[in-house]
Amino acid sequence: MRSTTLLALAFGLTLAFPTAARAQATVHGFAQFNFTFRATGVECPLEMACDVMRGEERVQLKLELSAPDGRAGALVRLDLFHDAIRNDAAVDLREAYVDVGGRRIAARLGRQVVTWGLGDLVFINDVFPKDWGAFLTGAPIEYLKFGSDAAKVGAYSGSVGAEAVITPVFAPDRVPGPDRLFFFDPMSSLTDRVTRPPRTSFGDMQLAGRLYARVGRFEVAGYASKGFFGMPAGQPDREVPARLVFSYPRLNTYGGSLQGPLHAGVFSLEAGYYDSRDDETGRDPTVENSQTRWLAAYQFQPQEDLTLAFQYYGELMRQHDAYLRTLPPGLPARDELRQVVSLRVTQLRRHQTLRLNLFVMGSPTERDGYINPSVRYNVTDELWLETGANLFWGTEPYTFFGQFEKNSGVFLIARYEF
Amino acid sequence: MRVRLALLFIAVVLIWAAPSGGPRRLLAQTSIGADEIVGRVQQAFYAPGKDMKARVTMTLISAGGDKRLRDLTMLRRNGTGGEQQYFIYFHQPGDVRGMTFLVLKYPRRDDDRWLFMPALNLVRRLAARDSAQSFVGSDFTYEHVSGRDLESDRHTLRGEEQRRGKACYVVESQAQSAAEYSRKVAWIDKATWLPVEEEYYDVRGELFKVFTADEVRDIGGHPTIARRTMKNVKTGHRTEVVFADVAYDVGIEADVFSERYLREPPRRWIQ
Repeated sequence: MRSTTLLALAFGLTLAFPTAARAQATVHGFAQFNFTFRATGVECPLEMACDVMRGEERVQLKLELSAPDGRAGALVRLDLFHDAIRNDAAVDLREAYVDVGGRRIAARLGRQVVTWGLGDLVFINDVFPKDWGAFLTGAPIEYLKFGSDAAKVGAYSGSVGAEAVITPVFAPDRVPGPDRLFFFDPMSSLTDRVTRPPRTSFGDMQLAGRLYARVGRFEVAGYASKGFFGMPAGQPDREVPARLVFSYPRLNTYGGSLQGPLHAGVFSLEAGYYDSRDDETGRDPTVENSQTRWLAAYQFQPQEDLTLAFQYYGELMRQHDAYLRTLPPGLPARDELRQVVSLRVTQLRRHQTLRLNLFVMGSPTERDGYINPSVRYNVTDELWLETGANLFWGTEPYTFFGQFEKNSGVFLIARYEF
Repeated sequence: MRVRLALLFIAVVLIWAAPSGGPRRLLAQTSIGADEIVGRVQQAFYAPGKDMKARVTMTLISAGGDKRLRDLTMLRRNGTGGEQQYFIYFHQPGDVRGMTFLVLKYPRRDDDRWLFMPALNLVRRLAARDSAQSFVGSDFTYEHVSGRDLESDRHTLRGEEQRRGKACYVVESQAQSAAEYSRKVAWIDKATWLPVEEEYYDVRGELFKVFTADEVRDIGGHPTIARRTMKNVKTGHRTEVVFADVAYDVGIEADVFSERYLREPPRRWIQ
């Protein structure tokens, strides 16, 4: 029913707008095939999709409307897909927004993807929703982010901008599910679970702001947000627990970033403070403690069409003593400091129709890592093929990457754009 | 006093006489003349008007005849002191549709470049050192698209001759800083100050690329190369470029060349 309504809405807009407002309308999109195979040969639980982690056919329709004077516009991005594993079809409204405004003040209203910050697969001041399930099962990288139902209001003057994103209804990250993925679950014996999302009251609206400027050849930005952790915190219902109650603890963030030229390349610095509002003392073991996060990165081109990007990321837990004191016995303790380094190598060949990518990320403190090699070839202007692997490794089954070791796999994507 | 006046008179006569006849040709043989020509070429080729808007289609053609299309809108604005700003919006092919690209170009310094990927809503600053970097996979480099510093080459006027039916200066440029070529020979149309043909030689002194201006049109008083080709004679790959809907002095605001419009392309200019 819902999908029919959305489709009717999309086609209604296509038909209505050009005649009513003489808007320019364009329709584009793609058809895509995406399969991912687990390469670890492990035995899976009965309910888990085992050797095939992802199998889907997908069609995306993108409708863009633009007023004749260019002062207003709209975009609808609608995905229709068939999940071969569950054998069901579904509709996903990826984006649907209206742009209004002028030179100084502008607004984007509706479902939209918002991305801030400078990290490569690490996020500090980007508190917008992420789909880790899609990422871990080998979907194209754009599916790591999904739209927020939000209003973005911006004020601009030259190279200075201020933007506020108001999200009335909190949307948590999409986390790995036991139907597809292995992950560390400290209370796996508790199968009775409920999730309590934040209320839809004004006080629970998510707010995020960014102030940025280009100063000479440097870009500076400041960020702040008020909202919730994207990952849920599981709380046992009583001393001898029978049920696990998931909720999203409050989180405020404050941070800044700086980017600019350095020798022949570009350096990036970003830092942020994660203020865990529901666990200020750090004594609640189920809620993340406050953290300081930072990254430093440098990228350059040693030769034509070859780019190297180095990145160092760190996160420091506040009140680590309190965390250790209150951690229930039997649960693995996290380090006070987690550090991650990464290298991305991108090589373009054959008139940039062939892209070779290698991303290696590892944590010396947690002794785990992630490797993502991939090859993409544009067979024609319309058709591209990509294959690659997501390889996870760790010495312990509970670390950030280590917990996904059994999900290492190979993915295939074929996309025809129209 | 009289002697001084007489000397002054002789000096004035000599200065007046110098540009005419024999000495002129001698002057033209020096590198100063060549620099002047190249300076005027750069103005005519890369900087006419206060700003420019064009729909650019690049067809990449392999030796075997396979074709790829790059369809984009290009906005250029001249800043102060030789600075320029470029904004590019990609219409085709599908995998880059909606991408935008911002280049801030400075004299005698590396460009600053940003790329926006709409599917991720991500702005990425790009490391941009290599002057020989191919532009979107074509046979043109970034420098072919937006120009190269006059001082990056040593220019010599090799003479004057007819080329493709035009009276041309022949200017040779030896690369003095990082370049795709070691030597370039250009035939410059005396009437328009635009190159009609260029030959690029590699470090071994072998010809590897040939540029031709296939059609020149007058647009708002500015001679404009409407069709051009760059052919790699070693690989047989070539790129044909058409500049359509070219307009100068259309009043593109400085604001357009900012992160805001990378993320929200200026619909008014890219339709």
